[in-house]
This record gives sequence, C-alpha cells and structure tokens, in this order.
Amino acid sequence: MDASVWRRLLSAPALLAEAAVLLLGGFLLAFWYAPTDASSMGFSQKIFYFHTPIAECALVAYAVAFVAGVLYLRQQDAKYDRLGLAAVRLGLVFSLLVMGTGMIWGKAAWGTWWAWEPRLTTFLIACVLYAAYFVVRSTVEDEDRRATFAAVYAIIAFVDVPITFFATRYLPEGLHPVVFTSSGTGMAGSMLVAFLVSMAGMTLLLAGLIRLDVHVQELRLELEEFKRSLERGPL
Amino acid sequence: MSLEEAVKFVAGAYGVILAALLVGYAVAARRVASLTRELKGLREAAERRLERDRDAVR
Repeated sequence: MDASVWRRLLSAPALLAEAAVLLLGGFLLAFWYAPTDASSMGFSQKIFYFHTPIAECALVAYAVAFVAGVLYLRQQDAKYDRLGLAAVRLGLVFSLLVMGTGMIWGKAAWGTWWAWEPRLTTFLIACVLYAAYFVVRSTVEDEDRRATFAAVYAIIAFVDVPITFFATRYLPEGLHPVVFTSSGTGMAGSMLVAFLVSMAGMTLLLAGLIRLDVHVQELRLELEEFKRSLERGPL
Repeated sequence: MSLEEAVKFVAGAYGVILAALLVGYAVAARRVASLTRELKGLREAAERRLERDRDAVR
C-alpha cells in the first residue's frame, strides 16, 4: 500500500470509523459469542470486555504523554506539547471511565464499590497526578515554559503507570485477578476473540481521539495566527 | 448473584460507557461549532477589510 492510503486510513475520521466498527463487533461478540463466565462472577464478567481495554488505553495514553514529553525536551517542538496535552486529556477521561465501570464491577463481583487495594489505589493516584497536570499548565503563562513544565511533569507522573500495571502481579493482597500470564490467558478462545476485538477498537478510538484533539488544537492556533495577521496590516 | 442482578450491573457499566461517548461527542461538537463560529467571524472581518482596502485604492 502506498503512503497516501496509509495516511487516509490513519486520519482521525477513518480511525474513529474503524474504532466504531470494531467496538460494535466487540460488543456483539462479548454478548452473543463469548460464553457467560463459569466462575462466581457469572454474567457480570461481561463488563471485562470494555473495562479492561479502557484501562489499558488510559495507560497507553499516559505512555504517549511520556514519550511526547521526552521528545519535546529533546527537540523543543510545540507539536509534541500538543500531543502530550491531547494524550493526558484523553488518558484522564479514560481513567475516569475505568474508575466508573470498575466501581460498578467491583460492587457486582466483590460486593463493594471501593477497596483500598493496590490496583485501585495506584489508578486513583494516577488520576490525581494527571489531573494536576492541567493545574501545572494553567499556572505558567509563557508558552515555551509551560510546554517545558508540562513535559517534565508528564515524565515524572509516568512513574505511577508501571506501578499501576504491575500492581496486581507483584502485590499479592489485591482483589484484581491476573488474567494474562506467561502461561496463558486463563479464558476460553471465544472470550479472548471478543476481548481482542474490543481492545483493538478501543486502541483505535484512543488514536482517533488523540489525532482529533491535536488537529483541533492546530486549527485553533492557525485561527489565532490568522486573526493576529488580520489585525496587523493589509491583506 | 442472580442473573437479574448481574444484568443491572452490566447495563449500568455499559450505560456509563455510552454516556461518556455521548458526552465526548457533545464536547467535540461544541469545539467544532466554536471553531466554525470563529472562522465565520474571521471571514467577515477579512471581507470588511478587503472592501475597505478597495475603497482606499479607488
């Protein structure tokens, strides 16, 4: 495939359309193809097919913000600041969503809305840390300094992400089960198919939303620039 | 947990996701509408400016 086809496939509208198809497919597979979980979770396990991909995407978004932060500090290019801002904004939205669906699933599976267990606690810390990213941005007026502060902050805040990811594996007192291990997934093939389709859909949704967010930021900048040039002198 | 109870929780969780999608859509629509408004304002300002410049040349 030539580059223009890839560009079209990876444009924000195309990514969002692909995500919609895959998410709808994942939803249908989760409810009509994958069997009901045989463990004590029963039907409430259906939440897993969207809850887990949303959680993974939140962490991926924070990883994107981390990489964008590193690239900004190395190259001082404002496009990485815009990418970092979009990634943190969407990571936070996905995090809040995962907290919401997780609380509902927690009530169904463990009988409680909230427990101070490692995964939940570290995820809550991530939410607070990344919410503070916007406070950091709002306190600095100069654009370059703001971008530098935000990049450094995104890099530091990322420390919590691997801790959150590995919390269920290395901190034994957690309530979250470990589904994916080196010895296998511990779920039926049809469940895995539904999960992977939802995961692919959610990843494309995140990518499409990040691209859209960056595009809107760039449009706004162009408009501002145009407005300034209009005020300055003759056309 | 009975199936009826589990269905309520699953519907609640997917309802939260759907609500988030709708809110996201509304926010995106608002941002696009605001950009369109700004663009319209700029186009009008540019036309006024062009008219003024033409008058000055005449």
